[in-house]
Amino acid sequence: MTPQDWQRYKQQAQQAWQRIEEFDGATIWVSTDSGAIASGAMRTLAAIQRFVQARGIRAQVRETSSFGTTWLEPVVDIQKPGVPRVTYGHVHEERVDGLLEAVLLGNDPRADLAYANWSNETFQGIPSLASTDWWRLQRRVLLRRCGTVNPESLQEAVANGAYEAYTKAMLEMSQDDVIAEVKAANVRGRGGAGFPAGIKWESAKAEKSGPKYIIVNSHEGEPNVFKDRRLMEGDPHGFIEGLLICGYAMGAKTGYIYIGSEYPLAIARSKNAVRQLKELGLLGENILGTGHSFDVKVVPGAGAYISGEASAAIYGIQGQKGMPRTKPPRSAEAGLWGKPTVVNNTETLANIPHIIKNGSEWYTAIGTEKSKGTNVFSLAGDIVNVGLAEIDMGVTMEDLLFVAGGGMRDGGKFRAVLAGGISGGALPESTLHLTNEFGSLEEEGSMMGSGGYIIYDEGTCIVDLAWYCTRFNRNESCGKCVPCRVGTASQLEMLDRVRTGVATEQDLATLVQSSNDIIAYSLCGLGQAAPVPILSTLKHFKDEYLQHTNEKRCRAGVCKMHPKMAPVADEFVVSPQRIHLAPVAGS
Amino acid sequence: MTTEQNIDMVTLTIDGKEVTVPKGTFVLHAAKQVGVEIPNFCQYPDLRPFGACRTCMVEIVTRRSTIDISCSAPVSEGMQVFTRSQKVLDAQRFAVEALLVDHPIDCPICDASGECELQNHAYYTNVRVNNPLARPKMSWEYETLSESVMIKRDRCVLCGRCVRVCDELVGATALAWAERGFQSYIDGAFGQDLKDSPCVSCGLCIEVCPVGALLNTSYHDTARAWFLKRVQTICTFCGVGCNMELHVEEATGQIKRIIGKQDSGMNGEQLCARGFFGYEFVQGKDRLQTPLVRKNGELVESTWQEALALIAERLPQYRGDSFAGIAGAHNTNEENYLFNKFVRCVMGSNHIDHDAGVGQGVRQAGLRDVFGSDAPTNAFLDIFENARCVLILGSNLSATHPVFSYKLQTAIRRKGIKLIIAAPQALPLSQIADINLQYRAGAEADLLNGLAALVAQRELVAQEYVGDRVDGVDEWIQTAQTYTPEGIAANTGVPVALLEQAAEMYATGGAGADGRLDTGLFPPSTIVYSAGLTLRDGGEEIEYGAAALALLTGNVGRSGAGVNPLKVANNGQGALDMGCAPFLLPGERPLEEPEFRRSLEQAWGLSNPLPSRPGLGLAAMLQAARAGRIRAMYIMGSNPAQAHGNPQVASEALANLEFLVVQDMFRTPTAEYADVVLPACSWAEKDGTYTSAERRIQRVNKALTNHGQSIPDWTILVHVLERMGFERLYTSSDQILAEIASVVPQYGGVDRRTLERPGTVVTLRPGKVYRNPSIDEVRRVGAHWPTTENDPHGTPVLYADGFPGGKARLIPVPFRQGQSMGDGVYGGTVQVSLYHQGTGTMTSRCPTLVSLHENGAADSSPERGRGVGMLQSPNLKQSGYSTGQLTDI
Repeated sequence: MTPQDWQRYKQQAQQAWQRIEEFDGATIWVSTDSGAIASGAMRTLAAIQRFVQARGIRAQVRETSSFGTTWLEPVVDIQKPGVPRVTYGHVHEERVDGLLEAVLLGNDPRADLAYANWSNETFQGIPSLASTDWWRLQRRVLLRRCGTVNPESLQEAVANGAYEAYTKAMLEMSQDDVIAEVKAANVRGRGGAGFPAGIKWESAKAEKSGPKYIIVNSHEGEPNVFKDRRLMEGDPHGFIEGLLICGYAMGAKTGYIYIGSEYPLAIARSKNAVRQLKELGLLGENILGTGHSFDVKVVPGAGAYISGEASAAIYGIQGQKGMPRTKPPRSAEAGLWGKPTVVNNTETLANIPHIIKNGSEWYTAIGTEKSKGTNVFSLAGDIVNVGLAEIDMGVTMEDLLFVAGGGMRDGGKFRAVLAGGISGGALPESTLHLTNEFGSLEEEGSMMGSGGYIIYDEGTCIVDLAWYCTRFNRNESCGKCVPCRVGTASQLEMLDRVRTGVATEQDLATLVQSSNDIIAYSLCGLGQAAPVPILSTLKHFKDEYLQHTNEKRCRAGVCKMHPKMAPVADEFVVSPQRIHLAPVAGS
Repeated sequence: MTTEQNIDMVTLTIDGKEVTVPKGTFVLHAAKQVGVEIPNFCQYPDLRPFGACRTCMVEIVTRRSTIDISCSAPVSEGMQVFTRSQKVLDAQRFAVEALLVDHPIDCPICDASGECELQNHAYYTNVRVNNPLARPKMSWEYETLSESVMIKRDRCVLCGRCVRVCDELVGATALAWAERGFQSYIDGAFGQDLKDSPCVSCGLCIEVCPVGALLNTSYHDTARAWFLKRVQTICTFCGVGCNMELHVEEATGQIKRIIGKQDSGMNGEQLCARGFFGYEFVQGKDRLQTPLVRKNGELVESTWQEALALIAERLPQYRGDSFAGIAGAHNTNEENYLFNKFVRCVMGSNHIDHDAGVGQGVRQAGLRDVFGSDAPTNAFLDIFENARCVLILGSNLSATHPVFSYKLQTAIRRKGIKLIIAAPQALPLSQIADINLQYRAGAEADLLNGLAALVAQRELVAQEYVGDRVDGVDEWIQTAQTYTPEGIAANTGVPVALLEQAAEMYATGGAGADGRLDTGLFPPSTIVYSAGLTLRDGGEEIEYGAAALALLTGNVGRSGAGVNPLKVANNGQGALDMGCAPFLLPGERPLEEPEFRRSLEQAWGLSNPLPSRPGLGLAAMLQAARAGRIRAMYIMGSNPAQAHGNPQVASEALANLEFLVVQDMFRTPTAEYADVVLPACSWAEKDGTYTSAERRIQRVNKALTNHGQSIPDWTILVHVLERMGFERLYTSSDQILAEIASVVPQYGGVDRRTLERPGTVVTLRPGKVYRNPSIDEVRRVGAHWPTTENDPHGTPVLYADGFPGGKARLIPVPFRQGQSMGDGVYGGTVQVSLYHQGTGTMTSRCPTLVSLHENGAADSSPERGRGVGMLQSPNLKQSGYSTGQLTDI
């Protein structure tokens, strides 16, 4: 396609979008991403369509992606001409008729079911979105289109600004300009390690051999972390645009999107987006007449946690077993098929179009000194607002959890937050003043990582939590390097001894020692982070461990003590080594 | 060989010792050079760094004093490394203790005991009895993966050497990691039974296993490492000439196993199934114990006295043209030399030949007419290192020359060498080929001459080179005009487009028409085929075509180029060099030239002139015997009764003889016709030299005491000669070798000492660290003839300074529409089994090999090739699917 074609298409798209916006009937949005679908959104959608048809209501029913309000799913938004759009939560199939009847026919906005309205002031008893705690701190950059456009429509994305940055980069900027802009923006990898993306691109571009490749690492495997998933399901064109810009900047001809197979909807929507781009001509040969050609392939992963490690992802795409590789060489030197390869996280790439469009200065104005831009946090656990929140880097833990997160659910008392997913560390209440950015939580033995937070209340046994994390890491270890393969399994045994009250204080020392060993000697990030939950809980919650070892008591009442370890009489002392241990359950 | 090209050197300190190594070397290898051994499991020479075992950790104080794994940490200038600091010892102890968590510590019943790296490292790192990581052990039972491989998985340290060598070095990808994490184990790829997998039973996985996890079924529980005597020798099967180590239990005097040695032959540690498992015949129950003499029509046990007396009495009656001798392609050079001398001087006959493959004798016409010799031109290592394009013709090298094909596939995958396979059917290597020319069986000559004609027509001829070195070009070009692309396509059945593609790829060394080097030539291309291919009527036309193709493109006399017919048997090349052909004297000199006869008469001190008329070849000999013109025969280590294409003819011929002497290890079908059968030693029981298919002269060493009353073939000949009234000339094979060195020009200067010295050091090319599997010095023993007194290591590349006759002579083969040679006999080059050699005198007495063959293991036939489910990718033709580590990185 030529630049003129592109302008024409953009105009058409904008006109089409205008028609949608200026529709003279009611507009009903139903969010249909995987979280919503799991809560019954498809049935809700069907019920709405039935209702609209049966009653002959002039309305457009639009599928969209989740707005981030996962705790409210299934979410339905309704806008009648002339009044603000209102978000309703928990609209299950059976509530549809009552809601629509009241809102569309009866002129009752049903404030009891509503979460917020999209204007700036309260509307008929429904608070404005901007006034909600959840929204208050947010700055929507990456999630801008989520909740509004249909994620399966290229036209709607283009009408809302997609591919403007790409065409700008292609037509107005040189490859080096793009890299310079990304470097100036200092966008750091959102996959967890925080490596500056611009430097990766630069070194891959500097490599002489070719062809070069770019991989979008969308193999998000952390339990309870789902920000990449929402980005892919909600706005596939967002990160694909970043991918295309990267491809242009480093001179790659092929990009791969590597998505874990447990994300079927993300795979389908990414494939759909790629197909649409090929049809349009933004992917293919001689794009926009610049001579640059690019192709994107969507590759499903096999679903192992470790496949999200960059070098393991490369092997995964090659059809081999996902196992991290020792470095050197870095993948920018020799990655996919032995060629220079850039591996970027989905969210990292989703940042790129906004940097190109608005400039690095705009970007660096957001966030903190070390970490720029916004970050999409996924909040889960015993918290009210389970869902996504896109907030500037540097937000304090307190704001994140108790403002955006809405505080503890069911009146629970905060016990710990597991920051950075399962391989981050658990943090106690005393650390809530810390800011969320790269390099800040590390001092307390945790990290921001991929921006996934799991919050625990008083009903949680910290030892059990460490045990759970360690079991996850043991099961997900690829088995290549010895410290991770054997160490995690041994640590799980040790924790099992603590849980059942068989352990002594000496075992805790062994736990610390082996944790340090595993961190120091492991090959990849998984092994190097596997003992972090143990170390951080031992650092912040040692008293709870000591209760298990010395008092043979679990204060949360979660752990079942070994019968012989029940705190009976002093004379009943059994050497821990003598006790035969059953194999670990759930292995 | 590789020349050292502008290599940057880096100096660093390891444990206070300064060492200077090429840039790109890993710390572990650098440490080895100053004698600092760092314990490790997963590092293995010739494999890329893997970083799994985390045992080779060192402290690099110049790099924030971190603990790094030395196997993949490249050296840098001024680096300071400590390998025995407290930090390092703690780290290594942790790694080894971790490996002992599940290990059953059953050393007393483990085959690897005494040579187990875990045992050594546990001692080295002072592991504690109270392992802090201890938990209930997971245990595994013995499991038999195939006829050849067993596994005891709880001993496994999961270093992945087995999986990696299977993919990177053998190209079979039969093994894989199964499951993940603490439940990982080694298994056949996809959980497949190894018998049904691409496993070629080369035994390399067993050999590289640092612990007793992968076990050799033949060796299992039969010996312990410290009772074994290790003897270096050369394999006795195919022409590749692998170096190997026989492990002999001194108490029983039996070979217990065979392994390859990293620092010796071109094969490194690699062997094939025949080399690894093919030794049981030595201890075979049916080995001949005593001489047999025919009495009353029956062969009965006899004594040396009686047998030799009978020979001495009968043989002299048949002096001259009624006598013929058949030498053995598996015999040593010394034996064949002596046999040749015996037949020509003592028996006064030129009827001497040997089985050059599938029961065919040596052919007179062929490469020799073009180059002056029919020896392969380039050494294997030279091909692996320097070739840019390889054309394999009509030969299933994976079965005939297995280790060559394994190493070739590694070179192809690592260095991106282009591969053209021309064969009537798909071969195991076809799947990594860039071009597969599947021609109509029998059309090799048309194909090669056609390709050469296409090269000439497309003006890819190296004009300057041809002008300097080649004769008969004009005539050849004229004849070549009879070849049209359509005509070739019609005769061979290969589409025109493919033919042209192949012609261009070969002629330009895979670099394309604008890929000329500074020298004006294209990068080197080489042609390889099993010499058995041309052992049939019209076979010379194939060789003329191959030679023309190579000469026109300037691909003879260069590194990485050449025409390489690989002799089938382990000493087929030597037998020819020693003059075991009716028309050749030792040193491949034509018998008909009086000056050659004269010089030999002088050297041998003969009073009577040597017979001047060329004798009969193997086939003609048998015909003559059948017709009664040849009345007596002496057969050494050969089995024409079975090998001959028509057993009826062979048996009639042998039965028709008046007197037949057979020297062999077994009572072969041929021996059944003999009047005297003399028990010969196996290769493990004698000294001598073999000349491999790459012209490498290598030493065979005696490892066992003689079996029964058997004695080496050369000793038998010495005794026969002595009994016939000649003085005893030789008391050791070295004396014969000394005579060979003075009589055979190509073998000048060769003696026991030069062959046994540690060999030349081959340094792999340093470069980017990961392109470069290892830069340990690798020693290669032996010498490539022609050797001289001044340079006993010899010449890896023939004709670098011109051809023996000044120039090579192109021989035109006119185009004959619709007339190909017909599929005929495939010269034992395609329809062959990896588990079978020749007539099976040796291999059929090795139970493991028999079982593998009969159960249809991989490469037992072309249909049962290797490489099911290979992955094709845009830039990597083949990659192991099994492991996730083995790309071109």
